[in-house]
Amino acid sequence: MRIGVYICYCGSNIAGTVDVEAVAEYARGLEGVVVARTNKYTCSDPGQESIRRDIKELGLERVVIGACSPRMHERTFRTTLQQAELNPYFLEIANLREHCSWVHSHMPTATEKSKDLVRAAVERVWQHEPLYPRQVPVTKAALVVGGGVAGIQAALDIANAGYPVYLVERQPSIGGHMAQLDKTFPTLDCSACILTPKMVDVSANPNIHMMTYSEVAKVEGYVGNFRVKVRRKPRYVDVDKCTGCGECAVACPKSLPDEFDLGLSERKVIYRPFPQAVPNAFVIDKVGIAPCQNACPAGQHAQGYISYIREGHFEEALRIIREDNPFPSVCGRSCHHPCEGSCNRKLIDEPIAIMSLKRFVTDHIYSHGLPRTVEWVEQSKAQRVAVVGSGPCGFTCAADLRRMGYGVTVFEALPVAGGLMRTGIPEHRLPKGILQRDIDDILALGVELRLNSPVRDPAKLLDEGYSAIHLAVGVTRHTSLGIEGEELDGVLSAIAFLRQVNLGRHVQIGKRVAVVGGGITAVDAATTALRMGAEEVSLVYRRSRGEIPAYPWELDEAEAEGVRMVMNTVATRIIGENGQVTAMECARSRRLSSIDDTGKRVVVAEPGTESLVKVDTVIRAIGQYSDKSWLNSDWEGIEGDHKTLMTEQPGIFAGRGVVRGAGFVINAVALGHETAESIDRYLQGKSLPAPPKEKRPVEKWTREEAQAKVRLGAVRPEPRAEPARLPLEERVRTFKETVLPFTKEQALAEAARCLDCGICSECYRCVWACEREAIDHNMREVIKDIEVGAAVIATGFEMYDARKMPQYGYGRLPNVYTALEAERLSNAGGPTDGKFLCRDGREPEAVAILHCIGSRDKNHNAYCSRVCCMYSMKLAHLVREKTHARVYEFYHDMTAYGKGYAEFHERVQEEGVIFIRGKGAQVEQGDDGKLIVHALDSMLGKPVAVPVDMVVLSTAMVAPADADQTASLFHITRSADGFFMEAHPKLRPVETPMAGIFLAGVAQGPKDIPDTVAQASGAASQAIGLLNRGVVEIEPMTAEVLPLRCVACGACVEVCPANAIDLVEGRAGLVAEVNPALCKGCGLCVAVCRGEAITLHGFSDQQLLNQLAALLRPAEIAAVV
Amino acid sequence: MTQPADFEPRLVGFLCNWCSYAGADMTGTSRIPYPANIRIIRVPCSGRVDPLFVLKAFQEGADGVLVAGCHPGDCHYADGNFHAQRRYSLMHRFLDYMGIEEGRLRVDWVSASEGARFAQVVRELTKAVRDLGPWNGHKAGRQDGTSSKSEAPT
Repeated sequence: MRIGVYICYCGSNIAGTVDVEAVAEYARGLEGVVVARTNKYTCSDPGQESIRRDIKELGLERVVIGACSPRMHERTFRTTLQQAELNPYFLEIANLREHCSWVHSHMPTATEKSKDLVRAAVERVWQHEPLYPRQVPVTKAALVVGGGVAGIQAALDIANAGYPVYLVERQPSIGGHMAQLDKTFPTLDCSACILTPKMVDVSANPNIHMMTYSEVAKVEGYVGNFRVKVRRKPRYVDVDKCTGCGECAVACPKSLPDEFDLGLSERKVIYRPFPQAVPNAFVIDKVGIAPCQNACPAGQHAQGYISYIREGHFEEALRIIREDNPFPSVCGRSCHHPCEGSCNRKLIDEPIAIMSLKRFVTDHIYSHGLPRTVEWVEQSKAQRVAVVGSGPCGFTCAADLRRMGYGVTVFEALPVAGGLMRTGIPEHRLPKGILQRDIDDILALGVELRLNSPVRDPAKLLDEGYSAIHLAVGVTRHTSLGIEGEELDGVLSAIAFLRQVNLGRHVQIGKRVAVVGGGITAVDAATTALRMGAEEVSLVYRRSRGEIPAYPWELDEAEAEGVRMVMNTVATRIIGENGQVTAMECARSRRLSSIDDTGKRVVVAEPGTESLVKVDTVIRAIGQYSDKSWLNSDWEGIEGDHKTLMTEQPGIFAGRGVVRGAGFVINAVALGHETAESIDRYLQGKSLPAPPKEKRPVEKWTREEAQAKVRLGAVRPEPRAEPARLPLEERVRTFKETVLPFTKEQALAEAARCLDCGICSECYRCVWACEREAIDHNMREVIKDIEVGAAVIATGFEMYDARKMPQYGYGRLPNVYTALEAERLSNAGGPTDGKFLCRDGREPEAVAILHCIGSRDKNHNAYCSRVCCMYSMKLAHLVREKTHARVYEFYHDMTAYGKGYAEFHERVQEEGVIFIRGKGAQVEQGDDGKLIVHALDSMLGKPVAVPVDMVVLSTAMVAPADADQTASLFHITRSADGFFMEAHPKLRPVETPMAGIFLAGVAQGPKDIPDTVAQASGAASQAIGLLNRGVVEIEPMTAEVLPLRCVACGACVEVCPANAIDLVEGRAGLVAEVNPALCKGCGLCVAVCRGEAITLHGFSDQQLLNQLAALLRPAEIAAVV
Repeated sequence: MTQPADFEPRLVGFLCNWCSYAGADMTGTSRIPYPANIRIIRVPCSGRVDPLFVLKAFQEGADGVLVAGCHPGDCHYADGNFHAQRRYSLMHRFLDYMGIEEGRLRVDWVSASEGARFAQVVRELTKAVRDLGPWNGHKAGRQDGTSSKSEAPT
């Protein structure tokens, strides 16, 4: 082995602490070393030339250089070797500068350490093998992250060089902070006037794909070949259709603080950040769907209609309700309202009374004869659909299909319509007239209803010209109790009992009634029996009150009316005399360990606890199933598919009951919608079932979040409004509706309690206002995959949160503003139309501007934010220009270093701005309404207290709060100040250690607009260079499997972060194989391989162990070898 | 434990290329001094450091070992440092079982910008190992009683 060793003086950088000559002399004695030289600067041309000459003349096979960090010059020296036709990977660098001479001061120690490092490098290089970098093509497109002025400039430069650019911006518009500024220093150009043309250029450039309201979600791959996932947040407005006319914002009822004006003004929920926004399109501020809407099976926009109720717009409220539910009057009364159960408000006090509000809307509109926006729909499609059954499911489906333009006929066997809503729900809970008005409104759409028309053979309807049939037959049969005596007179089924009562037919019931069961039907049967004159009504349920399916409030009501609750009791036998019930035998229930099909434990009677109860009527209400006996026998086994809802017979769909069993009205409505959608798809020849709908995120708060809102004063606890009820004595003897409607005042107050969880309430006003039909409330987040060769990170900054320095009173004293807020005040498009005004609207007589808030302070940020002095003076100038106020600048050093900056400082001084050298220490409220600024004037050498009307805090630029996430997405690093770290602070300021990722603008560190634009162009030119080259060299330091040693345990496959390893069939069976194109050379696989069957080229075990052993062998001994 | 007054521990540091090695470079660039006891070996990732390297280091006469990588979540290769963390939390217990004091192995995270922190880590480790004294266990296992390490002056 012939090794050459080159020890660098690096001027005095190494030689100042290391005896370079002694190290070289020592190296000459090492095994294999044929030459050891020293150089003043090895990286200089003569230095490199000496290496090249030695390689050629002395036939060197390996080269060791003792110099600066390999991170600095490894590439340089590899090229040197290559130029001398030696494989560039036959090089090892000993880091004598960063790791030795610069950190140690004692020369003998540093020299000994240097000898160790050189010896280790020599022993390592023995093991080096020739490696050959791979060349891979570059994807000729670039990603620019961040659409501020840096991102805009970089995108334009790259696009103008002819490459496609994806410009990803998180906000709805590009423009960044620069769009918020008023004037720019020192030229006093209008910021927007110079920025907006560039923004328009971006939108007009065919090479730029603008992706606003989007975020980078994932980055994979390597230089030249990045695969990026971009999360495109739903904007709810079609950018291509939106003309930016703003009618939607006029219609929108809800306002929020305007972020662009930093909360100094308000904007609507549908908004455009600023008038010159690019794209010039609106966006809806929605965080997810409200939990009430999510909980509703039919997806009722409860927040939407509650917001209308709050404003007193009841017709619109009904219109919103009807979008999802054709039975508003029914569901305002008979609903199990899961919406209320999931209401975020219940974490604070009590849920909103959503059901009662719905009822109020319907009752108010009908009783006042207000318009109901029910319009006849023309049949626009040729096909006709038959719906069998006029319950909630059938009618919902019929209404939907009619709205789509189909001809629809509803067949009902009974002489009245409404299905179980009519026959199953007693009058005192749902008056017949109320039900009828919902039905009438459905019929008003053009749905045809045929009463007394039982359908025995659905197929016949197909022959009669109906293109599809919906069997919506309901669950009208009760399961039998399965006990002795059920055939006796006086034993009734609850469904049959209620039907007879509801149809006005005569039913005989006794004085003592027992209802067996625990569902709503059981409760209804019990309260109905009471109203029919029964003296004693008991509800017998086999489990405990906590497990009963009926809702607690229903039980409470029934109990108040006089129904006796008999829990944990099983009916075991019914006893009769002469065929007539006289008593029921009951027993205490006992739970078994086995579980029934509903997931509850099986309950049986406890033997020996039987006792007799005297009754003359038993009503069984223990589970309903669908009644198919009315169909011809051929149809008895008919079942619909759970997803498509279609039966085996094409064109015949089965609704509730036939498919899914008993449920609530609102579930039936939901199923009706679903069936209508399926029938429509079937008739339109589309595939079934419909593709699954993506769930939108739900805005469900935690208890902590809810409590925090109370603490911050955003929400005040207020009691829930409860509707009044009929007096008890009137209630139990009549069939009058028990629950009374809300009064208007109650409804308005209750609606005002709504927390607007989803921000946008989906009141659809914007939809109705938009003539271009650009608004789609159902937009979903889209993940877009893009491939690029290079990326420019221009994610900018945030302003330092001045609340962190409470001594200045920001957020507490109203007239303390931040500089960015002052920019908005000064901006003609801002909240005050360009006037500097105090919060109370008066013009200030004196303004103090406090420099270095959050910067140059090691308790906050040690760095200088570089722009604050200049923008402070610009603001001072603007205040002087626009008001008559005296302006004080509290500074402690003036950083006015750029072109024309010092001159501007001079100018502002001449304009009469008062400069006080001393950092503002504190701002306090004076007695006369003034703010007092305290500082130590270092020129006078004494404290000063200056009364002013307005204080402007010149806050620092800080790294965005999520910069750490950006860093890990792109595998780049951050400096101690939080900004992204460049590859070299002097020589590679726009590159990162990650090849192909470049930095632009403040993302890398605070800078002003000219520097930002210059750096952006620099980053763009780096990216263009990479794309132009067309190929990149990939480091050959990849892993390789030695197949003969591999036992295919798969440990390497599991740990590989690049998914570069697979188990493949080799000559001798299964072995691991590394795909070098994917391998990134981390070496995790090598460390986990138990059989030493994987090696990492460039960092092999042998190389590292040689280095390790050599490092630990003391110099003297080594020298003897 | 008593140790020779002039005992200078030999330390080896395995530093990942992307964060800790760059951090050590930053220490140099910022001229922050630290004890000269440590010798640094560059590895691509802290996850590359085979536990055997650590044992080998002790076997070859190191008195202490440092393994340093990127902060959790910052790994250049996504999760290599987590592998290292899991591996070395186990390794610490194993070292104890072998009679090697836990304090001789330090696993830490140093980012590319934490030059001062790297110096601090080295200072602490050097002091800890100096307090523990020389590691002589490696000699016990040798059949011939020889060592590749020089004897401490008597």
